Amino acid sequence: MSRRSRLASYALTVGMFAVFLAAWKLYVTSADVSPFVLPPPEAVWHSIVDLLGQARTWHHIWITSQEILLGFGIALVAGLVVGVVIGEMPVLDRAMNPFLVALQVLPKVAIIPLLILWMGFGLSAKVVVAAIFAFFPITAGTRAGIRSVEPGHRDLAATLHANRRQRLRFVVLPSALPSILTGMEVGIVLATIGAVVAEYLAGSEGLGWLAVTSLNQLQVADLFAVIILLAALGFVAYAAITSLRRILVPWHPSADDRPPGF
Amino acid sequence: MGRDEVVAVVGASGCGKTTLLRMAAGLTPPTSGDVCVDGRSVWRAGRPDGEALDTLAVVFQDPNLLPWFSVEENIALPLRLRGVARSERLDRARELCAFTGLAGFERVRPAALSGGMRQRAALARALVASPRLVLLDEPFASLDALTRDAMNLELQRIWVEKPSTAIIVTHSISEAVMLADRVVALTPRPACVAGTVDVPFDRPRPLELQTSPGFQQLVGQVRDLLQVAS
Repeated sequence: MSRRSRLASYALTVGMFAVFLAAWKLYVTSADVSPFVLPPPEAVWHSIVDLLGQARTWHHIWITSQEILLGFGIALVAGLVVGVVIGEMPVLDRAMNPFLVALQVLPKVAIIPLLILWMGFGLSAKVVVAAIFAFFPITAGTRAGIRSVEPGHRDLAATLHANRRQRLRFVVLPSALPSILTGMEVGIVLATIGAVVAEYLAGSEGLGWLAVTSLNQLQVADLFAVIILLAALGFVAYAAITSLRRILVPWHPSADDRPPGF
Repeated sequence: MGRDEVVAVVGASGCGKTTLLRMAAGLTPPTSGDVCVDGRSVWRAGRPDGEALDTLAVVFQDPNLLPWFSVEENIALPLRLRGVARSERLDRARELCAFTGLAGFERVRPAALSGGMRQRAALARALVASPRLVLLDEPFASLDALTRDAMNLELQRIWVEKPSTAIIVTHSISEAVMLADRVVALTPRPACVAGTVDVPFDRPRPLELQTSPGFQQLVGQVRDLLQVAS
């Protein structure tokens, strides 16, 4: 993407954001909406500035970030191992498929009370919830990537007499990496959701807990501010993973931000 | 096959030319019979023999270059898998880049190369470990006519400078006669050898040779073998 078109897309993003804020302000003013239902954008802005000026807010951000990163890290290691094993071994894939599908379709929110019963109200329960949320997309992305290695590349490895480790290192994993990254992109978003939901249900600190507390105290502008902080945190985590794509798979079309055909 | 002999295999689509090559390459196990390189069987108890595989190289119809590696890394891959030191294997890869007309493209990724250049890189990768036998499965089938002619000349130059035993599978009779010392014609499935035609021309063979009466006569002989077989 050229510098000019990159600047144009940034300008468009800023423009759309400005339109959204203007529409929000216009609606609140013209419809005389109660600030307990929808506070005006400037009140939310003041709340954001006020919250960011307090040390306790940074503590909550740090707690939630820890839960997301630790949960995502556990899901990444487990998802890669399980994804590689079932991707390489069709017999195990068929054997484990019912368990993996059950884990995916299970409403994970339902098992959070169980995890709290087992692990208490501390950090570990939230980390495990974030890990469970992120595990399946990473596993599925890894498995799909390994299954979609080009047959010609597998033939090449076979004729070059590559052993299993060499085949994985030089052919299978590099080929699967774009798909693994897609799983990681979904995984980091779900890890964020998992950590916040766990804090909603059983937190004593963290941004999810702060949101619930703001609601209970009818500090609606603070609630909006926390939601925006959560969105920003999720966005930073997602952007970090997507930027890995340009570093790790520069050869793949998905690392090119130009539209197809250009 | 004799040492440094080039044999072309021709036959109707689906007769098993590629299957024959895959059996020789250790990719598809034969249901009966054996494939030996220098007296060593490629298959042992239904599994490819590693030492036998180390003596041969394959050039596929698709170059199968790994897109995450540069051209020189792709060419050096067989040496890397054998544990050859980085500087040594890259020196050898660069030497083969120069030999196959890829000088200046060592560090680029395969996506930046034309179809003909990718096939040159695949040829260089096949030659990097100095194999005793090179197997070529319709290596130029996806190239346009002009590039294909150029690659046929290039292949002959390589064989003149670095002679090697080779089996080339092709569906083009004139390409088979142009490249091979001996053309083997297969019958339709179930395939057996319909006949062989020896090609007496010295290398390098110019493109003009294809219009000569002698060349056309050999092409006619191969075509007759295929027509009788079908």
